[in-house]
This record gives sequence, structure tokens and C-alpha cells, in this order.
Amino acid sequence: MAKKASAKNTRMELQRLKKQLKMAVRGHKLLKEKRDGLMQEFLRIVRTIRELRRNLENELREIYSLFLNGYSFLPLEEKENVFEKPSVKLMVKTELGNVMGVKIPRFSMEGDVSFNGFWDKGRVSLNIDLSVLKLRKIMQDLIRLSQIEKASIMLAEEIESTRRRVNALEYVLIPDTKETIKFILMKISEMERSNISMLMKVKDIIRQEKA
Amino acid sequence: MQHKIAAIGNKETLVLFESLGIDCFFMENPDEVGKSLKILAGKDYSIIFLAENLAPLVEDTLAELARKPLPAVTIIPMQPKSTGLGLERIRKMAVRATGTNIV
Repeated sequence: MAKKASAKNTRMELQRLKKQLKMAVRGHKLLKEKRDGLMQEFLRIVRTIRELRRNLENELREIYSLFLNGYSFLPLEEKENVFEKPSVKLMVKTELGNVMGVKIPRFSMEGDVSFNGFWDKGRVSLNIDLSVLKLRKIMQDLIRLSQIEKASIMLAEEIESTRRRVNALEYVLIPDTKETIKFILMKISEMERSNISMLMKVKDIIRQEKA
Repeated sequence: MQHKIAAIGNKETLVLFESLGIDCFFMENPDEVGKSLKILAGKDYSIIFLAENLAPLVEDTLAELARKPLPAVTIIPMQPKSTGLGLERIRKMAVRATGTNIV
């Protein structure tokens, strides 16, 4: 609305605004499509997360119970260095993917996770071995969970900002521009009318003078 | 690129992650957790597993890290009893993004 008062009432300005409106409408359509696309991807991911998380949390619960079952009975000095020298070093290969302009990391597990066990060396209880084995088995899924949760977070941020942009265009910029265009059109036709009436008046005066 | 994995927790079960060669950090002071999260994010860690009970203490840092593609901070339970906080956070985020509860 503030724009209306300050607008120059010229045809050039009118042309500029019409161009701007056209662009805004086009941008609005594109952004809306982007938002819908992101949303679709997001919904798909969130559904997977729910399933995966539920399974993993159940698995982890079992693993922790098993582990604590063996671990709590260890003597203190054993507790501190039970995994002093882990036989593996787990690494992840990280690549940055791109989903509709959103940078999303993809992880894949690297490193050998085979396990010889502590128990057969008589060091610790079988329960600890079992828990370690089980954890290794679900590690792949844990990493996958990390990946898709991160993706969902990044997508959610992008959806929010895209939605805000769509709304700003839809409810502020486009209506405002339309209003200003209407205002300028009215001003110009008003100016034309006053011009015509002025000419008529002048003609009248000239005619009277001739008579 | 190859990256490392870290785990931050305040329970005995953290030791379990050490068995996989994951770098484990035992801490419970909120300031300490927030600071080390930031430090780890600057190093070549791409996944950080954070204990569920520590997450509410470092919301600010988590929100800050959420905007960057790396690292991925994943909240997992580190005790036999899960509070369901991990899923709850996803649910909240989904509500904020989509405007409806879809989880």
C-alpha cells in the first residue's frame, strides 16, 4: 500500500510493474512446485524414519540389557579397558547428494566389522560378546538412520523457507503489485480525461472569441 | 571422503560403542557437551551419536548444526529404557515444516 502513494504515475512505471507481476506469478508457480516436490520427498523419508527408529530402539534396548548384564559384574580395572584396543575402526564414506537444491549427505559404512570375541579368551562374559556382535549387526542401519534423519532435517528447513517465500509472493508481493498497477491505470485515465476536458474548454473559449 | 564417527553420552553403555572403534566422549555437563559438539563438527566427523538424555541440554547447538549438511547428529537412547525423544523430535520438526502431524 505504501508503494501506491510513492509510485510514479507514468506509462514506463506501469510497464515495469506489469513485467514484475508476470515474473512474480511465474516464480510463485515454480516455488509452489518446488515446495510440493520437497514435501513429497519429506513425507516418504519420515515414514521410513518412523519404522527404522522403532526397530533400532528395540534392538538397542536388548543390546544394552545384555551388555549391562555382563558389564556390571566386571571388576573395576577390567571395566575401564575392556575395549581398550578395538579391533576395528569404523569409518563412513561421505558424499554430498542433491535433492532439489538441498545438499544432503549420503553415508556408507567402511571398515571390517567382523569380530573375534573377547569371551573365548576368557576375559569377559558371553553377554558382552553377544551385545557387541548385535551392535555390529545393526550398525549399518544406525548409519542409515543418521543419513535419513539428517536428510529430513535439511528438507524440513528448506520446506519452511520455501513455504515462507511462496506465501510472501502469494499474499504480499502479487496483490500489492496488482493494486499499484490498478492505481496507475486509474491515474493515467484520469489525467487523459482532464486533458480532454481542458481541450474542450479551450476550444469553447476560442469559439466564443471568434463569434 | 572418509569420515569418523563419534558418540557422546553419560552412561556406561557408551563403552559399547568403543568396541566398534567409534570415538567416544563421556560427559554430562551441558556446557561441555555443547562445546564438544561444536568442536567435533569442525573436525572430520560426519556422524555424531548423542545420548537421548543429553539432547535437551544442548538444543541451541543442535539447532545450529541442523542447518549444515555435516555432521549428522543422531539422537539415540543409551540406556535400556528409551524415552522416545528421538522420534518426538522428528515429529515436532515435521509439524513445523508441514503444518500437520504426520508421524
